[in-house]
Amino acid sequence: MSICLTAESLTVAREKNGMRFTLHVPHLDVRLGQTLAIFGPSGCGKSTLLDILALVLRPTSAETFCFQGSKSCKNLLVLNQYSLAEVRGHDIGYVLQSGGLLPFLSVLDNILLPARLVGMRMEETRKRAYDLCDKLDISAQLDKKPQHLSGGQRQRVAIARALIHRPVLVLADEPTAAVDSSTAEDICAVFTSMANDYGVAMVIVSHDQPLMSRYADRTVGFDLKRLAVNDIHSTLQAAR
Amino acid sequence: MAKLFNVPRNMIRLAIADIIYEWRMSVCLLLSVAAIATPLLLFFGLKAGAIETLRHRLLQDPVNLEIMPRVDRKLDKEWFDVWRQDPRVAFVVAHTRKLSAQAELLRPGNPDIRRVNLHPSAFGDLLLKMYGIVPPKNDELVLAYPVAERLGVAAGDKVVMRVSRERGNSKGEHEFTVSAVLPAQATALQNVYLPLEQLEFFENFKDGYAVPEFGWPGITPIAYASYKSLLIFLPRRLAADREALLLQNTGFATLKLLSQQQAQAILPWHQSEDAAYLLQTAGGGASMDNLKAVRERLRGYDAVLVPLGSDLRLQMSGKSFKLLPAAAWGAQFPELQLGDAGSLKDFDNPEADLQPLALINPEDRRGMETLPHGMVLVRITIQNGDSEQFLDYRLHMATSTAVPQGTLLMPQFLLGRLNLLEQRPLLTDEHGALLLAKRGYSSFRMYASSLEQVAPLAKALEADGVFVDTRADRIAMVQRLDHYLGLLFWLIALASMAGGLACLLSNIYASIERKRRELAVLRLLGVPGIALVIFPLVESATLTLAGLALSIAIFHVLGQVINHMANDLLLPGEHLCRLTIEQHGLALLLGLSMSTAAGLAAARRLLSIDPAESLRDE
Repeated sequence: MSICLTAESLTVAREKNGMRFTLHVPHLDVRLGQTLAIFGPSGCGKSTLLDILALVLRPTSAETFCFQGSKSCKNLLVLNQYSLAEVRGHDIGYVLQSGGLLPFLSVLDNILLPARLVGMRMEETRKRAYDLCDKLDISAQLDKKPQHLSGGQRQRVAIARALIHRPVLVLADEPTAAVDSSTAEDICAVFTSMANDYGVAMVIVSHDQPLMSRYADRTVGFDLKRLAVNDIHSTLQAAR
Repeated sequence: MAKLFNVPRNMIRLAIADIIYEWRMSVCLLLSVAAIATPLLLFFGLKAGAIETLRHRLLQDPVNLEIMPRVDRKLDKEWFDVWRQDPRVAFVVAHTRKLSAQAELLRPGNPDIRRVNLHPSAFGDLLLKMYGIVPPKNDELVLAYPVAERLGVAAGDKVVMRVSRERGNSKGEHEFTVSAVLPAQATALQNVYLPLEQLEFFENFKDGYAVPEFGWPGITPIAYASYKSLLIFLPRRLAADREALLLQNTGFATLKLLSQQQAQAILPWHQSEDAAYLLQTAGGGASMDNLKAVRERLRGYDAVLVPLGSDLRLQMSGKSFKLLPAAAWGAQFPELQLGDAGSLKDFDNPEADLQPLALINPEDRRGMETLPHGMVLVRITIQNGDSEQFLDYRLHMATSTAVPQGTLLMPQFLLGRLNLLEQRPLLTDEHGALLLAKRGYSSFRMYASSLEQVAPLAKALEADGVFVDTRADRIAMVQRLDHYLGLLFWLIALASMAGGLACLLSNIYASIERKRRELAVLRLLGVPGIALVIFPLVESATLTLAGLALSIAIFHVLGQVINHMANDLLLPGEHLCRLTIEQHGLALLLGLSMSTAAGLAAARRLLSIDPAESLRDE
């Protein structure tokens, strides 16, 4: 399996409201075609790690933090804001907790948006969108606005949007948090099948360890230590 | 290149999609803009319409552009040339004395006679042009409406102009064709317009001169002799009391006893040891009567009088000659052996200018071009202050070796008449006789090029010594009204614009706050922060322009209603409430500026959105 993202000895230190939080990632690799589930209790640093992987937060320090994109391998530590935004736009897809869909666009326009922003050819992209929608069973919803969809449908639309511009990495932040258990099972199944079908690396952050363990190819958790009343230290475990 | 515009293009699409999606909010904002802009547009439209109507009315009446001379003053051709070139002047034509510009107008077969004021017209006459009337040609008249109405004449009719002098003892009549009649609103005065050249005939006739063009009798304005000084040779010097007598009522101001050298410098051939005096005038010339007065005082003294001109010179074939009299009055110069140069009587003949003669040294005569009948074309020049007067003249040129080279001798009476050139312009008739030419004009008709130029033009004329009357007060009143209404408008406009800006800003800002998560998602999808600025800018501009479009539409409807209501006060083509295309453009420009300011202020908030935090908020 090819590795699309590698982090070695990565640390993020944050301080908020007098609380110090340190996240340490000794080693992490994200592989194409696999689903990596990151879980842990609230406040363990899941979202912080996701911010780092989403390239919207810079690590405080790291030995290695590389991204193997569609075109070349990039050392993320040296890229500026604009280059990071370009990597985000071209090579990463996002599925947010409640979908993160734009309410003023139709389902189809929401799905096509990332491709439009990177300037992909619309004819091919539309075909890919219809193909994705068929596989995700949302073809009948294309003209609707997101708020007229169910939670599960919104997440499927978000998955389609995350895959439309052929990214190498898809990040999903608590994608099952806002849906019932049966829909959550469906969504997890979709994630794993999409990772296999499209050869994409899927990283799912969730607090639902049992669910994730059933569907993810690999899982990873956190060791949480409270060094002081206002000093929490969290370390990412090795992936299993 | 296409990819470079991907993000901006898609941001515009997203902004428009959002406006449509949130149409209720959009309509509210659009109505807010219209609610602020419509009263402003109406106020500005009323101000612009009312002022423009007043201005148009002022402009429509050429009297408001007219510059009227308060008193008559001699104005020469150069004066008119200078003012004609002035960009503040739309039209100027010379005018005769007001008293001479009156005549009687009658229609053949109609007993009614109108006393009319004559005015000159010429190409470009603003008054006639405003009413689409072509300036009259020779023997044509344009009549003011009251004149035409009273006489019952219309364009194409024949009328007779009658002018009299010497208390009606001498009369002149000439038939004219009415080429056009001015409409009633042009003037209520009994005015008649005719070419300047023909108006001058009326003045000439009243001055006593004949007008051969109209067959009117009178005198011919023959030029008279005028001398600058008088050289007197006497066998002995005069007693002091006799010398003083030469200055009493003789027209001369100074008497100077000359040495022989000084006398010879004036008359090079003069070798006499007689006493020589030089009598000089103060400024104007000495006439024949003045010379006679001097001669009377010197009766029995065996005096020889030589009247002299100013610095008269004659230009011929590129050479310049000094002009001197060929004979003294009543005596010839014995030293000057003129020999066979012709009858010397010709040189002592008061009518000599009718047969213009001159004597020249044969050496100077050589190579000169001769016209038919043995005449030579010369130019007489005289220095008058800073300017030089000249007259092109034809002379019979006889030769004599007695004439010093560089000098031309001519009859003293001809010399005196040519010397008149120092005081006034001269011309010659077909026989070569010297006539008095018109000195200049007493008055003028002038129109300023615009209302704004009336006051500056009047000021400039007064600085030039020509005092004038204008309607500048009326113009200034409208300009002041425009100024104060303009100030008032901008005060209200500024307050409204501040309110409008606050309204726009709060709405756009609130909209951005509501969409913070969606916009953060866009950043996550790779849209650079700076590109997000497009979103509020497009929303703000679109809604402002739509609001302005709505308010312009409302303005036009209400403007029509206002104009309809004020119909009684307005003339055809006038509006009480109106905005020009440029003013529409200005309103849109101001609206766009406001929307940009509001959009940019909201965009500042956008730039502060941290995509990481927004992601976490999800």
